[in-house]
Amino acid sequence: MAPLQEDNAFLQLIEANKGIIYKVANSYCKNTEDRKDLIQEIILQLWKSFGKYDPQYKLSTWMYRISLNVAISFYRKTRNTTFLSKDIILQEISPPDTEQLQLLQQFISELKELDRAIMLLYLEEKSYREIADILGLTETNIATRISRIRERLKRKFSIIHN
Amino acid sequence: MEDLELREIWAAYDRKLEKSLALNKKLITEIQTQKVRSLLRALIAGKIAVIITGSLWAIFLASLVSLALIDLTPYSLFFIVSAVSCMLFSLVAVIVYIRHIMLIQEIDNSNSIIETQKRLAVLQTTTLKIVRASFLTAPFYTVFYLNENMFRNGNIGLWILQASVTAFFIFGAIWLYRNTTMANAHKSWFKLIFNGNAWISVNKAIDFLEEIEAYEKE
Repeated sequence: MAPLQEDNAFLQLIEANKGIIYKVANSYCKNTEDRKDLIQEIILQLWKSFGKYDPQYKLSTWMYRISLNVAISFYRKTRNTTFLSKDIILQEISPPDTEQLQLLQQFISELKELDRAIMLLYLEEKSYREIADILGLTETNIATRISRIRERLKRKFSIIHN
Repeated sequence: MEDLELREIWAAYDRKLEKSLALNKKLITEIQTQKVRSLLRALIAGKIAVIITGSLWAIFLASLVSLALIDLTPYSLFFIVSAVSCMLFSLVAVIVYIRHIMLIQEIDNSNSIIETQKRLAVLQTTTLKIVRASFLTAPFYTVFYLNENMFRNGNIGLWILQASVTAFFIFGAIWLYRNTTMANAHKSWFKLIFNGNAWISVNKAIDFLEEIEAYEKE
């Protein structure tokens, strides 16, 4: 692919999938300043891997793998400084979320890193096969985990509603 | 709450984001032209700082050992053995950190999450292994200064104190070396020693490796 074509193709890819990047970043990073850096890092790593994209994998699998890997690594890091660009690369300009969505997001943010990734992919309606592929686990393992997370979620929502 | 309801909440969120997310295309262009720095660089920069400090320390110790060898006496052996041990340890740490940088650069984020994160977490916990090994150099810091004057003029009190301090350091170093393991990461003494910002990522890596292990056992 010619450089200019590659640049445009990448821009289109990000534009078409900006929701994925935002949702992943939002699930792993509640702090606005840190999230800004995380989104930028995800896009930077996507760009670095873009030329090496292996078409044997689905594009969404590739995107989720990179976004989640960067987000989980970022989550483990000690954040001392904000050193990336001051500009915001991806910004949500909308009214506040519904109460139920806020509860769901809070539940997700309370999960452990891997369970959080599974829950996110489950809500994105990915098949067990694709979730297993993204995480590098077996489908049985994913099914067991999802079932446990759903149970916990149901309990949490029922406590709140009661 | 039923699955369908959950997914509907999420789908509505997705639709909302689709309309409300604004992408800064200028910044994407900056990323494409490599004007934006990666977080990975900061991680590597920290390790490079350790490599430079470790190398300078090893060079400094080597210079002192060379000077001591010129005027070699049986008493200077305490200093030489201590300095050489600390120097060797610094060199090993420098080599390990150079290997770290090479491994960090080899990490491919497009691999599966378990594979990538496991490699990263293992790398982070290696820092703990280096510190663990560094405890073994502690007793050398209690004998390097022994000299002819101390042997000729030192009284019994001095030697009792010296032997107690060295024995304490030997015992402490061995105990810490044997117990500074990931299995003890949740114990209070461990948390007391390894707290602070520098250890947060290592402790998170330890927790994460346990989480991965639990997944793989299922």
